[in-house]
Amino acid sequence: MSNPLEFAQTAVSVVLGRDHLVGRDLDQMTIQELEASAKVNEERLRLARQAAWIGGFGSGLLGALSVAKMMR
Amino acid sequence: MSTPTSKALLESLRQADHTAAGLIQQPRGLSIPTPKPPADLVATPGIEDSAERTAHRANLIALVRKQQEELPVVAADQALRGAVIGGLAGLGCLLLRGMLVSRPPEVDYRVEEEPEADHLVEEPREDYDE
Repeated sequence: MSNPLEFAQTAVSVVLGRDHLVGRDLDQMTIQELEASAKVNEERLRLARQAAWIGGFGSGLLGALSVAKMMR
Repeated sequence: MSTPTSKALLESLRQADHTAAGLIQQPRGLSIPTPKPPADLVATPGIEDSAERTAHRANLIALVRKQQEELPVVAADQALRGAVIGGLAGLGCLLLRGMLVSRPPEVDYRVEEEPEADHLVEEPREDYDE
């Protein structure tokens, strides 16, 4: 999580389903483009994993607290 | 004991064997022998054999497709794990807070006075006098 802005952009793009390879034909890409895409995808995967974990953790925490508050 | 006939037969078999081995080694049909690249050409960065380049490209395409496919699965998996851990953490925090903040139950040590039983005593009714 080096850059918070990049992290937020990636999280939003993952949530919205945007992809940097939309409309691109992999068979028509050069090796350099494919290598760059693989690196970007790896980074996206890492950031998406972190964002999903943090989001899930927050949701679970708030959910547990809300349920406990309702049961009082 | 070999006869001249068998000697000739052996010789012809050897010749056929050599010929067949030569035939196998020869390129047949439309096969074009691929010249090996020079030793320094393979080691040069950016310059590879065509087959290696094709294989590398196929591997990259497979890798990118796999990454594209597993992205939502990984995100959902991590979100679920985070939700479970977050829920457990929230419940653990509540439990800890309840243990630390809770006070001992207040016990009332005062002796309760027994209620007067005046209302239980029946007053004599005037009806019985008659």
